[in-house]
Amino acid sequence: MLSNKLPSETKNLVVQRWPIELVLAEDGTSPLTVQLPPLEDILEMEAMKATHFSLKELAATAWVKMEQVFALELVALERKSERFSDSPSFLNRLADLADLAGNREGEAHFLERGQKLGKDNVFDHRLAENLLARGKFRDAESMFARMDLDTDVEANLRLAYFHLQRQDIEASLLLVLKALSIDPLNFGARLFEGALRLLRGEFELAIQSFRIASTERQNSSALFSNMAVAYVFLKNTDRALAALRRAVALDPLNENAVAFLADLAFSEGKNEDAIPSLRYLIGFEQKNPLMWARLARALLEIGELNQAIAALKRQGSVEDTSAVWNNLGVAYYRKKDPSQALICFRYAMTKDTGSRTQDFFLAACNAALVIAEKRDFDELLKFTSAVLLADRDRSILYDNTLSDLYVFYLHALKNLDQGEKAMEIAEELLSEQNIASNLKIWVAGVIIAYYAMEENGAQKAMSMVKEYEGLLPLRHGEMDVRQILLANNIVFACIESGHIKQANNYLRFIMNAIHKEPYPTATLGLLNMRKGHKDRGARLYEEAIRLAQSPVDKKRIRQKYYLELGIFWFEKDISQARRHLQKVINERQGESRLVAFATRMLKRLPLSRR
Amino acid sequence: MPLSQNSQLLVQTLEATPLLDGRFQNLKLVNFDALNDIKKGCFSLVFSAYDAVENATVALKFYDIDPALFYDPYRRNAFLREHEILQLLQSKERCLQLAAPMAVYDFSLPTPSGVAATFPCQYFGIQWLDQEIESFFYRQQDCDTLDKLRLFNEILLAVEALHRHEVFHRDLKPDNLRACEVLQKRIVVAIDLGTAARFSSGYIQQHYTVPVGAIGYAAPEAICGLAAHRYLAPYTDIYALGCLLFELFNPGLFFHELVSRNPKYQAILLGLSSYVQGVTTEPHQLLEWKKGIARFAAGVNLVDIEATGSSVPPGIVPLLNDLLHALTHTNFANRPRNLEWVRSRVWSAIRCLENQKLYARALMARRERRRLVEEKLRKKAERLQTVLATAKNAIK
Repeated sequence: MLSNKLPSETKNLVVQRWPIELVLAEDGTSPLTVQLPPLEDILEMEAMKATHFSLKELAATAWVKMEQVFALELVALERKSERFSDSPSFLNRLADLADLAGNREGEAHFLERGQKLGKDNVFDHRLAENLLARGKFRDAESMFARMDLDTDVEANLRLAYFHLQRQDIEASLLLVLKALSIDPLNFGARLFEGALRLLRGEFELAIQSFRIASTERQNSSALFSNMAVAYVFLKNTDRALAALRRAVALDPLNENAVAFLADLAFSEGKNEDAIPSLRYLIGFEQKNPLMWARLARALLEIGELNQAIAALKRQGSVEDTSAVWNNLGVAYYRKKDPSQALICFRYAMTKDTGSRTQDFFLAACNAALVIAEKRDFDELLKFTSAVLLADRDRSILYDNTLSDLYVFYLHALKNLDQGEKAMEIAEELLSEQNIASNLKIWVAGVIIAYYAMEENGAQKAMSMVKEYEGLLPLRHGEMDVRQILLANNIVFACIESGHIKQANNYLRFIMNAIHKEPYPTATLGLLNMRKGHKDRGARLYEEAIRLAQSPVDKKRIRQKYYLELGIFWFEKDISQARRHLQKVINERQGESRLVAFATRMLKRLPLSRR
Repeated sequence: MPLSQNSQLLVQTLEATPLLDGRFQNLKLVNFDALNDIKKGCFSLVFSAYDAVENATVALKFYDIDPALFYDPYRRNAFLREHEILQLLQSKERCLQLAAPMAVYDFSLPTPSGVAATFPCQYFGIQWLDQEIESFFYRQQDCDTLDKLRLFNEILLAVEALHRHEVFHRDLKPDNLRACEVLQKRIVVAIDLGTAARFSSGYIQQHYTVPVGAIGYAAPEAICGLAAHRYLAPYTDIYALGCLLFELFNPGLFFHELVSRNPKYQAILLGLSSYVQGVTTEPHQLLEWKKGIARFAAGVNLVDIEATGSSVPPGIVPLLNDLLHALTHTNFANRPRNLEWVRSRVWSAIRCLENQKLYARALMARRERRRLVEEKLRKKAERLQTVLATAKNAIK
């Protein structure tokens, strides 16, 4: 193993909205300050700002018109007061019209008049509800408490709601159970009971309550959303998805259900399931940036890049935040437009001024990846140094995603022939307490590979192997990419330092990656070469070169392959050895340490035999 | 809406006219609340009058000469259409009858220049129905359930009669229903056909943004801009019948209950209306409406007859619930087109209650008989004990 694979951008999408603050660049020479904003995208977003449609807003406006109509009807009905003012049902209707007209005080007035007639308790309930609507919670609660709690389901449920607001789940549950003892099939009581069971972590019981509720009312979208939450906690995501699909089918405007469906579908890799619902909702609710973000994420995941970019621009026209520009950058990156992606990432960083938040570093992390892929190591070093300086409390060191900035920083140093400095910093990082596990694994891998390649570094490499082998999991089936890379570097170090038996032991950790990943395949090729199985080794090296996707990786593996062939022929056939060592040296933009090694080997060939 | 100055002058003149058209006396404006300065209805001024020829009270409908509305073609055409429909319903059972055909009253209005301007005021006479049925709705706690069901049956018959002649009222509400006695039997008649339409009647206005009738009784499709759709017109009446059924047995308004059960009802309506907006032809409107309904109808919670404070006897709750759900279904296709079916359900409920009443009466009678027998036996036993005690004392 010559170099660790860099982290990818796949996880660096932001969908949840974080609090964004604006920061001005402090360092005049910092690359953060010289970036032009992505004008085309900004103009497009500006143009879209005026074109958003919101059903919610329209409904509110339409309701105001309706209120005016009902206000007129109220006046018309009041004309009949002379004949019916002593009738409770007439007063109740006046209260209804007042409520529909948005006149809560008027509603209370009619209800109080009705209550004075003293013929039924309908008015007590409605008055309590009216107090609730007017924000007089204490009065409402005391009114509900005065009702006959032995027979009144609604009063019990309302009181349970007040208790829940005060975080008193137990008292709330007692009242709900009392309501259920009065009417065991009451939909509202069962729905409430299910929600309380969820809060208490009794997920099976919650589902049981929701099921009973669903027999009473089969078309409640909220009920199926709640059921989905319970299924998620029970890790039954298929049922959760089914419940959410049903919730969305029942109420396509239920934002809660649609957002939940989108998030769950994303986590399960079933983004196609959520896209129609998201699109439908967005058709009616274009002012909700969270929905645009979710649609963009889903489209990005299924590879509809242009549509994802369009969705992100719509999101950007609703809220101009760092997260939006970061996501737009990710979309451009996936669209193989790294220069536009870089502009977006940098612009995302300028959106975040004041105190440095996670959004700033996330965008920086993504920008660093793009620069690293450009192989502009000078810029990468300058950029990452500036960003790391901005992290005054070194918080990113403990974040599994953001700590990748250190990875890029070390990568830049290594490629600028400042390997020793890189290793010094890497060792310093490893000595830190509680650093992000991802960073620790990556750095350990880098150090092991570095010393394994050094002329007299075998002993140091093996001591590092001993120290960090504990970062590998107990079962090799549960390894993530970084752990595979660490394992690969450990095997590599063992081979390079001549511990073939030990290398065979560690080989099990990378078995699943051989023939799939280039570096583990090349490492097995190296092992075969060192065991003297030249043909098998050569085949594996050639396969690794085919598997490598970036030209840089291909070059490095090819260089190492030629170096191994040079070593193999060193004692057997001088001309073959010279030819292969020369190939290592001639490889353009190859690994400098391999070139140095090959040059040293070439010098060791006897003069007469050269 | 207050009366315009022109209208006020017309009213004053008419009320002061001793004999109009040689037959109408004692004209009195009835659709204006002087206390609140509000006129009821938008098209016309309604007067009660005595028809000396027919020897009966009639209602005279004058086209309102409010200058702001006088030249409004919609109002004008609606006024003419009402007369046309009433002509068609002449001598039809359970339908409002025309008492006098369309005539013109030339009303001279003095102008500042001193020259009098003449306004030709169109009017027609209709049957005067003075029995209101509002007390069944606004004083429902005092009404018997059987009475309410029989009244609803009468309302159904009235609407059925209109539909039989392809007339669709489109503004059914308690205010627009009156009763009269025919052969000592109460007959309900739907009045105010100002918004009524027929399949064959032309469009006064192609697209409506609001329902033509009262919003509290309007079907979703009427609120969503399809109020002019002729095919849907009968279903609008059927929906209103459902609202009336609910309001006969509950102290609250149907619309209030619907909105309470569906807090997002307004958003749902707007979502539905987005499907039909901009669609001009009726078949396409129907097609689009069906698409919208497929998306939104399933999530609407239908209103149950047994809301808080309901007076429905438990025995007929399921029966009336099914009926109410059918009548007020969000999807018009699920509403019954045939009112005979609705009446049969209402009659089932009536029979059910009558049987219950009979059974209760019979049970009471049996209990009373048993009580009397027991009382008799008790008295007999007491007598015997007295006799025995006397005998014992005598033996001692």
